[in-house]
Amino acid sequence: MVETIINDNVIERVSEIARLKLSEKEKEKFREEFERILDEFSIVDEIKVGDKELYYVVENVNVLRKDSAPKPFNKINDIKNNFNKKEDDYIVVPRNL
Amino acid sequence: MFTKDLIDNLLSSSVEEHLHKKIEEIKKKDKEINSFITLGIEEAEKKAKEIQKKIDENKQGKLSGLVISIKDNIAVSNLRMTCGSKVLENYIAPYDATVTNLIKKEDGIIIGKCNMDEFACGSDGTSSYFGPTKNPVNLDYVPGGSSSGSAASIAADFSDLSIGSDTGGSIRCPASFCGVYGFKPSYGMVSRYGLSDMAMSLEGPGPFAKDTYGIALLLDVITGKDPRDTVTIERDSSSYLKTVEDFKECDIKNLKIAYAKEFFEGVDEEIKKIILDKIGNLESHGAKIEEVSLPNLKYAISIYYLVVFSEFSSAMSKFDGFKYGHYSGGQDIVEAVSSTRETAMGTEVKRRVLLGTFITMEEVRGKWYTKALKARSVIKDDFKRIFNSYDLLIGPTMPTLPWKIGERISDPLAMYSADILTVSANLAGVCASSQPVGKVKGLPVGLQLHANSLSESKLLKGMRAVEIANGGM
Repeated sequence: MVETIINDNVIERVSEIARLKLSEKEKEKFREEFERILDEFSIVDEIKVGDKELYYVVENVNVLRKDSAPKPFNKINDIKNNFNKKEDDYIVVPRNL
Repeated sequence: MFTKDLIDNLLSSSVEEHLHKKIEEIKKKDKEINSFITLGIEEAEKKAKEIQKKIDENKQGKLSGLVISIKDNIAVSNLRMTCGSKVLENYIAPYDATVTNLIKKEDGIIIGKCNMDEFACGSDGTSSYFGPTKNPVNLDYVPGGSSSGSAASIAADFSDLSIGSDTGGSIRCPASFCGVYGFKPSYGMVSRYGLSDMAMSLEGPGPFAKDTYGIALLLDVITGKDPRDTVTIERDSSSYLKTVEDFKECDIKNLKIAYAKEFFEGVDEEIKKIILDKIGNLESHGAKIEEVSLPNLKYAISIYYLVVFSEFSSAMSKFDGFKYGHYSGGQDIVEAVSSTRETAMGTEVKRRVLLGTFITMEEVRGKWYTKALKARSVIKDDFKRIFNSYDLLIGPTMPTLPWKIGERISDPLAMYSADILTVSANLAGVCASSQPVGKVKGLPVGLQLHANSLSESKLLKGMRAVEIANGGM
């Protein structure tokens, strides 16, 4: 079994951090599934690993480009048209305090 | 060569007529197959007229009026871009992805946006908010995913070429299941600018076609350095198309090909038989075939999904409903975002967001996420070792035949296990392809080739060798 027990509190906390509301039914379903999935994936414990964390596969070296002003994006209205609620040039969001 | 003949025909006949034939087919059959989410017919017709004029003046670009479909997680300006999700049901892309831009510049006609698993989370093409895509070869079966519509649109003859994206097999799996050619370029070869990716360190766009020639043609157009995507790599100026055209039967003997027994473990017996038969054909044409070992392949699925969950949960945080996409509202910001995401995301997307959030939490990340990143080096080293001595690694693309629609959707682990033969290429960043080499019970079987990172020319030679050695085109 996985050492990390996925209990109701953990699901609750993860749902809160992920900003993803879950129904009671979903909480129950995911709790069971996550134990099963992580149990299966704990096979990674068997692998002999070094210290190197591989975030990217390309060994790119930073090259500085010439410092020039990029061409500005000129279809600003197309971006604004996707806003759900807007007033003039602003996105309207619920209060945050 | 099919695509070459097609271009020759287009140059001497009518681009507009060719486009209309495709549109007719789509109207007739796509209600059932469901390979497109959005069509851009008006724009396509306009473009066809322009390209015809260019052809008449002999000024056409490389794609000279070929009809091209694009996966719906890649931006085409002024067309809806949904990623197969309710989250982006009404999002209109304000700009072109780099691949889109390059295709337009070379006179490809973009016909529409292809159905896909929601945010690319799926291996069989059935998790789209816009309904499952069906396999054109047999409508009861899944087309594979996540680039389901791209592969299906080629198999159903709705488009000549297509662009998909591959994170852990999302091009090769549907190519295999639908009996078409699919190519996952090395990481960094194709720009991800304008791609709404599932996992940034694994995914990239790539082509679908009906033959190696078509793949090479599209690769020539879409590969190369893009200042808008910092991980892209400068490529040399040699033409992939020329590499394919110049490759002759007598060149097969120069190929050094490895096969790993681990790539055949748990694979359907009939599939195994076909692939071994094709390897035999290469050998009788003089290719040097040797067995190698990939001892860490059994860990690949776990490492892959741990990385995917982590990167995906991070990538999805931008979908809050304010700037674009579905919005359900609420008393305060937290409630508005949480309920927007609750009502718009599908089950597999939620599953991955939650798991990714969990395994990157401060107190457990060492056991899961960080461990997976370290283990990823092990897979990369395995591939590096093989490509030090061999040009190619050969095997099947998928361990099973396509399954019936609905069969696996409720069991996440069964769905994940389908990716066992494809995820390593993404973990290691190498290039890989799938091409049709036979059928079992009327369902297509795909052969997979891998080549080292940035060795796309070698991979194309391998694909062409398989075509030639098996008496094709």
